[in-house]
Amino acid sequence: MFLVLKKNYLGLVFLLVLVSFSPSKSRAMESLTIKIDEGTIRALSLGIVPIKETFATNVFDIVADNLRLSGRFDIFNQADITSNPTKFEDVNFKSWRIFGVENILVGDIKSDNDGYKLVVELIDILRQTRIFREEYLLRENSERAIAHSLSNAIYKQLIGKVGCYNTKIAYVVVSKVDSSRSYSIIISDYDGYNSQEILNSRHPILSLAWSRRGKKIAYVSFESGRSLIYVQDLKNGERKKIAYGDGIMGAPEFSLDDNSIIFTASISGNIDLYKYNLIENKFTRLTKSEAIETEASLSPDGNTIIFTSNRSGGTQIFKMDNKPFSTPQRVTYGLSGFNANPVYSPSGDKFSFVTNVKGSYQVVVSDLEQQQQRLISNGKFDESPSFASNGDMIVFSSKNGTRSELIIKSTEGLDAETRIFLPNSSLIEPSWGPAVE
Amino acid sequence: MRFFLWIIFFITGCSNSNISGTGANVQDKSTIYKAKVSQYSSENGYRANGFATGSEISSLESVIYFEYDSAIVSSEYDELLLGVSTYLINNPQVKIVLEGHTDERGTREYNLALGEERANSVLKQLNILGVSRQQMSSLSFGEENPSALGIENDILALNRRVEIIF
Repeated sequence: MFLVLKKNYLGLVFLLVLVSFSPSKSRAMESLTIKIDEGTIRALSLGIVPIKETFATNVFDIVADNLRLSGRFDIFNQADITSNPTKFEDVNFKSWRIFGVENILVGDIKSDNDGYKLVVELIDILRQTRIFREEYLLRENSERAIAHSLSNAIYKQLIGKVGCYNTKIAYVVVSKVDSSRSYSIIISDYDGYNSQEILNSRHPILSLAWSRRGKKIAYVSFESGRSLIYVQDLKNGERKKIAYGDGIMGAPEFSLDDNSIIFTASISGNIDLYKYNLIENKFTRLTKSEAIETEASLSPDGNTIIFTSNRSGGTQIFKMDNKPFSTPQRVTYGLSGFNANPVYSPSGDKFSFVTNVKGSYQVVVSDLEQQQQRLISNGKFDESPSFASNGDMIVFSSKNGTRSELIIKSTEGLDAETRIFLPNSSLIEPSWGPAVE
Repeated sequence: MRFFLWIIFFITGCSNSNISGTGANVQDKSTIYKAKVSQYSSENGYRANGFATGSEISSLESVIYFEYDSAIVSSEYDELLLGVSTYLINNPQVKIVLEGHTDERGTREYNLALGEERANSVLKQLNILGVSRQQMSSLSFGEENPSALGIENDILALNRRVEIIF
C-alpha cells in the first residue's frame, strides 16, 4: 500500500514539472498516466556534442534517434550546446551541470595506419569521470552499424541492460499488384533500414516466428491451398513444409532448443495445440478440447505455454504446463471479452496481448500477475505485438485507414515511437528477432 | 519528456546481397538468402477488391453469415442448409468445400481458427442432415480473404461467413 502511494506521489511531482515546461497540456496528461503507473522511469539527460564531419554527424544523429526511441533518454537540444569538446580533457563540467545534463557523448575523427576512426567518449558530468572510450573504424556505409553498436554500449552503461539496437525485425508486406495481392517476408534492421525480401508469394503469409538463435524463420503460408507451416533457413533459403491434420495449421513458436515447433492444427474440426519435433519428425498433441486453442507462446524457462482459447465462452488467455494435456488455467479476466495473442517478454516477467477496448483492438503490456497492465497502443486495429530481445521495446502493427504500419515503442508506453510504413502497402505480422552475436 | 515522432519511408525490394553492406554489425556479415515459392495454382492469386456485391451474394444463396466472434449457425439458414443437403444427398458424386472466413477484428491466428470453427459448424449441420463426410471438406482463410473491404459494421458482417463452394 505504501508502495502504491509513493508511486502516485512521484507521478504527481512529475506532472507539476511537466505542466510548467510542456507547451501542451494534453501531452502532459498522457505522460501523467504513464508516470503514475511506473513512477520509477526517469529519462536521463544526455548531451550529444556535434562533430563537424558528415560521417560522425550521421552516426551521432542515429544514436540520438535510437536512444530517444527507448523513452529512457532526454537528448539535450543541440542548439543549446555552447561548447564543443571532442575529448574528456576539454570538458567544462560546470557549463553542462547548469542545464542538468548528466552525461555527454563527445567524439572526433582520427586517422592512423588502419585508416580513419571515430573515437568517442561517454562522460559522466556529475562524477566528472570518463565512462568509456570506444574506437570505430570507418568503412563505407557503416554509419548505421556503428551507430547501433555505440547505442548498445551507451544503453548498457547508463541503463544497465543490453541494448537491442543491432537486432532485426521480420514482417510481411502486403501489396496490390494489378488486381491481385502480393505477400513478401521482409527482414530489416530493427528501425526499418536495410530491408531485404526473403520470400514473395501471391498467397497470404502470416505468423512469422524467429528461431531462438535467429537462423530460421517459421511462418504460415497459404501457397499450398490451405494454411501450412514452413520453416525457412536464412542462410541458404531452404524451406521445410510441415503439414498435419485436415484443417488449418498456424501460430508456430520455436522451442528453446529450436528443435521443435509448437503450433496449432485442426483435426476433424478440433483446433488444438501440438508440438512437432523437427529432428525426429514426430508430432505430439498438447491440448484436448472442443474449443479453439491457438497463438501459443512459450515462457523463456520453457515450463509454461500461454495461449488463446475460447473454451470459457469469450476469447481469453490461458496458460498451462508445457506437458501434453496439462490443465489450462485462465489468465485474463475482466478487462475485455476479447483478449488474445499473448506473447512472453524475453525475461518472462511480462507478457503482451491484444485486447478489445470498446470496439478498438489495442496492445497491452502486463506483468504476469496483471497488477500493472498498460495499454501501449491507441489504434483501432492494433495487433501482433513482439518484444525486443531486451524486453524494453515492442513492435506491433497498427491499421491506419486501409493500410497497416509498424509501430516500435517502449514497453513502458512512453510517447516516443517509430512508425515504419510504405505508402501503398500494408506492413503486418512483425516479429522481433533475437539478440545474436 | 518531449514528444517525439520519427517517421521513416523506406524502399523494400533491395537486392539480395546488400544486407552485408554494413560491416561492423556482426549479424550483417552473413548473407540472407531468398527462398522461392512454387504456387499451387496458376491463378492470379486472390483478387484484391474483387469482392462480390451484396446482390450477387444473395443470388448465390450459398453463403452463411455469422455474428461477431461466433461459429453458431443461425436458424435462419435452416432452409438453405436443407436445400444444400437434399442436393448433396441426391448427387453423391458432388463434393463441396466449406470455406470459413472472419472479419478483420481480432487477431489473425485466432481468426484463422474461428474461420475453421465456422466451416466445421456448417459441416456438422450438413452431416446431421444426412450429407456424407466424404462429400465435404473445410477450409479456413481467417481474415485473409475478405469479400468486402471496409470497417463499417455492414461490411464487416459480409466478411463473417462460410461460403459453400460446389
